[in-house]
Amino acid sequence: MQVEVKMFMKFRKYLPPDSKNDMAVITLEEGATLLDLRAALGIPPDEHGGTVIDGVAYPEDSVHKLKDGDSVGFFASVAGG
Amino acid sequence: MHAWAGKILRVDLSEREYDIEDLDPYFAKMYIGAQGTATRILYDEVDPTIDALGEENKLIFSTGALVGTGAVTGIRSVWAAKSPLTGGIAFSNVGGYFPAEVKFAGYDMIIFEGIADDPVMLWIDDDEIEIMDADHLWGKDVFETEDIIKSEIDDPWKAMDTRIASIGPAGENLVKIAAIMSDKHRAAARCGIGAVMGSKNLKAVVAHGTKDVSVAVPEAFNKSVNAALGAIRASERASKVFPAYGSAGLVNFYNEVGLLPHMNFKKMALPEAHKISGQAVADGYLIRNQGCFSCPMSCGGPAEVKEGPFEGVSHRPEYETHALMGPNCGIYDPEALLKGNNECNRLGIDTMDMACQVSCAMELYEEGHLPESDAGMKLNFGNGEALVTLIQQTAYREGLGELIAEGGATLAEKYGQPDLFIGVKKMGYAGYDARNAYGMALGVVTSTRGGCHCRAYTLVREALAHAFGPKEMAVDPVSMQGKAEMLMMMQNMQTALVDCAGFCQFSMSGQPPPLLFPQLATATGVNYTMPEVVINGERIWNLQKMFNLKAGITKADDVLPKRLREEPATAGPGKGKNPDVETMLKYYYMLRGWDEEGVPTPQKLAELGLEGQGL
Ligand code: SF4
Repeated sequence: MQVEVKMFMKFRKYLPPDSKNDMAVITLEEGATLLDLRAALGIPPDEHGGTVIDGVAYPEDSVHKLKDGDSVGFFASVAGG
Repeated sequence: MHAWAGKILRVDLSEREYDIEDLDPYFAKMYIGAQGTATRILYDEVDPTIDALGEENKLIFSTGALVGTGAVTGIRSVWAAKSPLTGGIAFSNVGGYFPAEVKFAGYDMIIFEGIADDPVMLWIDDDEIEIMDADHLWGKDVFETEDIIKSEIDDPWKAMDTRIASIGPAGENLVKIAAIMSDKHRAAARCGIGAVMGSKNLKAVVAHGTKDVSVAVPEAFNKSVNAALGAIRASERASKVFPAYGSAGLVNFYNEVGLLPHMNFKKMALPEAHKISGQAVADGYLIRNQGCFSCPMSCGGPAEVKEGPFEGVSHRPEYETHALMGPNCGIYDPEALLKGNNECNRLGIDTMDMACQVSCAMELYEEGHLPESDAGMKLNFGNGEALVTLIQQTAYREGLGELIAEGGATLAEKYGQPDLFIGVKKMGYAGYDARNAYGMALGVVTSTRGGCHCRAYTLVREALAHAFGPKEMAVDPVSMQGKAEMLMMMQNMQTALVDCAGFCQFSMSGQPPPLLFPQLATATGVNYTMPEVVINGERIWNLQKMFNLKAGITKADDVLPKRLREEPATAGPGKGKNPDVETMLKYYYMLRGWDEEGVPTPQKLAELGLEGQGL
């Protein structure tokens, strides 16, 4: 299956080469979780941050199963208001 | 007294006289500072039914209790009065350096009464107080005003340490969304507070102070400050991400979860948002960081557009300005945003209300209600030049600016569409779409100063905790369950422990309440317990509510804009739904000990030591 990733702030450095607009499409095995996606992108476990999958926020260690066509955003921990 | 300077400077502008009064220690303990002390004085001394721009209104500058002590971010203070925009109580929070100079000169508060017959400025140099003519400054913008005043000080070192709060043309022209600016780019923005200053013919307040601010238990205070600094340093969020991107670091994240409004709250979650995010401004325009007094987080700083129609040096905007002046006006060009922000600062206008008026005007135009011949220009969403022109017109009450200057739905009503003004109690709505955070929806509706988000930042639990932790803090953003309780607790706590103490709300990402409380207790030497401080917040909240009720603001005004009530969310966790604020409100009133009309009961008032203050 394929998911679209959007990388923000410090996560931009994990984009595959030749990515445009801080986005990329990643191919994963069926049933892959967010953790599998992090591994596929080469994001080390100590690179902390949060994730939004199709409009809903999840923590970095979520075992949430991804599905084909999901859009996944990676964010450094933001604050303010 | 410790932490507090112990003095109130009372200035009679009509008579050009002043008096210095003692700050009563019991009063200080109960109302702490900033909006707390200002609320009680307004409540006791100002009839809520008066004309906000008339002689009887009082304009109060009130410092947070910890300003000048060295507490971490101990700088935030308020300007307060009866609001010409909402008709209720007004208090506008501001940081920078000006509040510290007032405290170092020896004053916790300045109360302005009456109206000067000609433009004046107040000059405070420790014990030397002078009410001076300001004819030569009237008509000047905020930046020119500060430059002229500083150029009149002979000693360049002293000029550097002198800090100025002033109004621009918007405040002079009684624009009801005018701000009081200090340190050029720091705004006491909301509630039309700049118009109150203008109505008093008060152009500027200049402060220079050299006195020490003492703390009660220095060793314990230093320990509590070091603990807070250590926690901020250890937090990537507070020490790296926030300084790098400012509060506008939130733009992309909130866009993804459907909280960032686009095109007058018509749309959400559009991919264009990334073009105008905090990241985009930091990458392309930020020159360096600049912070407020006693703050290690430095979220501001100059930002430069090098060429083109929006050329010039501005100041990095915070999240609200990004959201409302950017995507909510369909503007995805950071250069237009930087220019718009700078024009508001220069002319002394609240960026948030201004942007809400512009997005309303743009929708009126695009839907064919507002003809191009009336506007004198094309007002399509995304038109950055139109944004800048409308800001300038508003400051001088020219063209459509005459209607915008009245604030609220005045412009929308003129073109027969009052519901296209998105706001609460005539104040433009904060940059969070209520349809994806129901606690925030209730928070904006119940804020005692109008459509404002910053009395309780529920999004820490409704959005940020889900992605960034702590996990146990996360609550379902689009459930009504538990929202009234959560909100009330946060409102009471934040009012007293954060705002009245003078801490910056932004700093809570690094120094949570358990690190704030010891700084307050050891600096003031007041034997507070945390619950007592929270009850002080509840007392202040109830007094603000009573002021508003007496001013004629009722349950009928605690209402979400029609669009957010009736048009379902198109993205985010609330997709397809709307919040039912009416139901949450009933429960909220009950929890607060208010009757079904939202009026504090005599029992509740008595419990808070406010016997006999009922309607
Ligand atoms: S976080 Fe920003 S607004 Fe708050 S005190 Fe620091 S510099 Fe000022």
